[in-house]
Amino acid sequence: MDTFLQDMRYAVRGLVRDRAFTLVAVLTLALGIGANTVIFSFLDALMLRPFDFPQLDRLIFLVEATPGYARNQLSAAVVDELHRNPQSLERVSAFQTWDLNLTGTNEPERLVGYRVTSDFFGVLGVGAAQGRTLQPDEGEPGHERVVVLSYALWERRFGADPGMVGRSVTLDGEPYTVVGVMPSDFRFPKAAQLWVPTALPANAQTMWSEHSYQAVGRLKEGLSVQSARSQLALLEPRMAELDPGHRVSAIPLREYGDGPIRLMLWVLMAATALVLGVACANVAGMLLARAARRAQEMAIRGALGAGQARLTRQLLTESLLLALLGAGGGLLLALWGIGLMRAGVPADVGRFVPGWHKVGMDGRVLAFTLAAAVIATLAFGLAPALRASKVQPADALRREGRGGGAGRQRLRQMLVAAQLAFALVLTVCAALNARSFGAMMEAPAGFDRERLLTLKFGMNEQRYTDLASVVRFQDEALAKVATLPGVQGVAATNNLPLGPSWSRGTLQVEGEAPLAQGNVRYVFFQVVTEDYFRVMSIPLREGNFFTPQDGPGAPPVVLLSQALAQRHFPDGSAVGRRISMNDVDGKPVWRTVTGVVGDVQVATFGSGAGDFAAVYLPQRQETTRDMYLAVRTAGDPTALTPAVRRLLSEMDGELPMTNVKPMTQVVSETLLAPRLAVVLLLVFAGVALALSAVGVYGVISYSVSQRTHEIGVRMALGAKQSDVVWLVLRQGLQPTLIGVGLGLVGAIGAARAMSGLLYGVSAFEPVLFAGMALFLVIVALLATLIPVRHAIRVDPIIALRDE
Amino acid sequence: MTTTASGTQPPSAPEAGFLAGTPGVDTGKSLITLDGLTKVFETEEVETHALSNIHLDIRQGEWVAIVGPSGSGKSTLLAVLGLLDTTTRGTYLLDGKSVLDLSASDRALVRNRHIGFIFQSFNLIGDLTVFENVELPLTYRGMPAAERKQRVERALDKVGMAHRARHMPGQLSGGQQQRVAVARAVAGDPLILLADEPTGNLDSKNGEAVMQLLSELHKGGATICMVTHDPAHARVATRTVSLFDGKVTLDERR
Repeated sequence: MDTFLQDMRYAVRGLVRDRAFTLVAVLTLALGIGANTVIFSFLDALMLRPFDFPQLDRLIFLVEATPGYARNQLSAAVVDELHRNPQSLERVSAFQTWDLNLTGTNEPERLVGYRVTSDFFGVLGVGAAQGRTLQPDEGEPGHERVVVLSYALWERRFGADPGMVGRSVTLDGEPYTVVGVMPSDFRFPKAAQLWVPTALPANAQTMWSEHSYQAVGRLKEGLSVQSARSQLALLEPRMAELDPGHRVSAIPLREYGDGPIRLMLWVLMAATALVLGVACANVAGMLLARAARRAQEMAIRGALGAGQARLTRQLLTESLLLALLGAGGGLLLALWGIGLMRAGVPADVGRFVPGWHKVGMDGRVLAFTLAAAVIATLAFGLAPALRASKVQPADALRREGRGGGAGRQRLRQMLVAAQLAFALVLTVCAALNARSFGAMMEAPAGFDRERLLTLKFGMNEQRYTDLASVVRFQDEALAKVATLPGVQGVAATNNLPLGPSWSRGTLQVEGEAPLAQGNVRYVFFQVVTEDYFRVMSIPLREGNFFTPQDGPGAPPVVLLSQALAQRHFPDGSAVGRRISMNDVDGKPVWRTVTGVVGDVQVATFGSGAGDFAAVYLPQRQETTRDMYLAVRTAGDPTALTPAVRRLLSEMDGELPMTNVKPMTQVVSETLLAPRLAVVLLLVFAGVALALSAVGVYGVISYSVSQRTHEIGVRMALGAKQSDVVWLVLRQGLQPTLIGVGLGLVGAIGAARAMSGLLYGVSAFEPVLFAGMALFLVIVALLATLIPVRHAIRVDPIIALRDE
Repeated sequence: MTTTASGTQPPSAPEAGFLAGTPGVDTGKSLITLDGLTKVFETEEVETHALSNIHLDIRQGEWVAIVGPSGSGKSTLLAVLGLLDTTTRGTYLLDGKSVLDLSASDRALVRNRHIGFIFQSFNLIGDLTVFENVELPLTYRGMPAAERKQRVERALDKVGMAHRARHMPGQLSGGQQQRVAVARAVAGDPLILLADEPTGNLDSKNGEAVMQLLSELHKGGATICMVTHDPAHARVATRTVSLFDGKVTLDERR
């Protein structure tokens, strides 16, 4: 300990003396460590521990997988089977989403609720913060009017009233007794604001084809997810018979989140690891140069009896100190960066991301930063320390140390090559993402997103008991909104294109050979009112739009997107042909195609990118209680918000309205994740590139200073300026070309790994790869310009005299 | 066991090791024995014999001056004696033990415990204070802090630099720096002091002062082996070994 403290004291003194070196090294490491800390804080909160449930590793999420779609909801029959025969599961609970209206004294509000089977909280192992959770018999009829509130809802809507438990609240027009409030960090399933009990239908064991449940299970002690999967596979023979194409699968609850977001976070984590790699290589290069200056000191220490291990330890102590200072700077940067990133994501987007509320600086993030510092210490400090500690003690007898010579310079050149390789990988990844994002922005969405106000409203079953009353209200609402000044058109739809959610159904085409047993063809669908296409500026290609006559009593009709029509009816008109989107009693419900409309990008770019196949169903035939209103305006759409809100409130004082946004904002939020990824990758690539340029400059500049005498001799012997320039440039080119070569190989691999994030751009774009490589070479050559200037200004007389 | 009391500072308590023995008297105990020592530098084309078949016996309490023209092998011999350099052939016994076949870490250990170096260019470490420079070899020895402090203070006292303990080397004159270097060399209580042109970087006045300091150490019982160009300084030693082309041409005791 005594020697460690002494080493530390010497290290502090040495770093204070070399202030410029220390500052540059600490800043470099702070950038690398800070970037890693920022991304890790998100990765940790969103992916590694999105939930704070006890023994999270034992919790699994159950889904039904079908060909082409990995996460379907479960049928009631499967849930029933799991309840009765849990096999490897200690306990299991199912839940269904329930979009509901909360009414009462305040403004009505649309909430995200969940109907959960009674063991839900027990499976997760979480108790209530106030009151209690749900009891086993509360799912049964007559007992189900109890509710557990989320902490956020209790705090916001009910002012954190400590007497809330036992009080009554009105949900979809029915009174429910509040029995508990959950802890503030309990947020499952995503965006849940309340939970009510439910029980499976009495005939659940025969309901194999209606998929409306999600389920979570707790594995028996000592069993793995794989063992659960193996046991779930035992259900397959029965499912093949009763629900063809479906099989139950288990996913660790940890992986509950969005797949593309997870991939994006891993890509960003890898990117920051590369930035840290560049930073470490850079600092290692600086340490090697510093070691050259300290060769004599090391020789003296060696002569006085310090062995290699002792010297290595001392040098590593210096590196550790540098890394800790860098980590300190990195933490400050990370605090700023985390705040910046969190602020860049709207709150109503963040609440749908599990673990989002936990993103920040905590013990785990601090431990990661410390670990990064220690790893960095070894990464940048070990090689220089080992090299510098291999002293020749006899050099202490010489007036000048030998300085390390060619070996040290070779190592520095290798480090520069490594930096450039890392930087090229990052630059290519950033450029690919930027092009992908550009493609998303330029992709023909198929509709006009400008001057369009959107809002979501939901109609409960108590007030609007039948679908006819729902349609009546919607008709009246559309008619009244259309009369508002500045409104050019208004329509309703169950999902917005490029919005936060979308629907898929199974497509069958009359006359086409049935798909192989178990295969299903999914297609996006939207339920829309008659004016939807005119309001959204989606052109009619063939046939007719829906009309008010396409009601419940009329023959079922659909419209197809052009892409879908061409795919299934390439030989002629789709109009008049029939398709089905669902079965009743095992028989397809055939709907006649009455028109074909222009292609629209329905789903987000991450899921279903480039898939323009869509089916449109008339709202009068497939009435939906939750609808988006789309209002085309003459001017600023947000200016109409108060008028539209007031009008709807006058029609129904308990009608909750949410997601009131211009359509441009809806699309922008859909593109938020890829935009963030692009911005961050560009920043990381820029940092890596700048550090690499500094690295090239450092090596070449040091080399020129070491070769001043040689350059003097060459000039004395008649070398021209161009010869000297080439001499220096050649030295810079060598590591650059090696780095670019290695970087291209790495970039090809990295681009393939992140191909799932790319849209409209191939993972291997030869021109882009070559362009980035050339760009890097140019940057490296520019970095050698200053040393070149020094070299050509060498005065042979002074240089020779100095020697 | 006696010590002399000359110099700028009063002498400290008698020490074991190199100060042991009768001042200026050959005790008869052999400290260093070189037998057939040869050092050849090989390049692709030529072999250069830096040291050729050296036989040398240095006894405890001797002050040996190694002299010779540039390139005669003086510094190479000193480097070999100090285990800073290896040899091609021959044997080297230090205090009766063969030291040529030791590993690098064992050589570092022997240097640290048994050899004190005084360099021409002082070789103090600029980042460390005078105290810390003198303390450095004791730190490498793993000596407890209290004992280190005692030894450093005693050594600085001996060379008259105790009052500059907190100074940095850059704040000292050349002569003062060399005195600190001497303190560093003796603080570890080595078997022998190896001095490489100890006055080479000093003006005559400071050079004389350093020679005076070495004389006092020798009178106190120190064994010294010193490379020098200066015949006057060589004459202060009790024995002169002349080298030419890596061979001993003269070995004269006074």
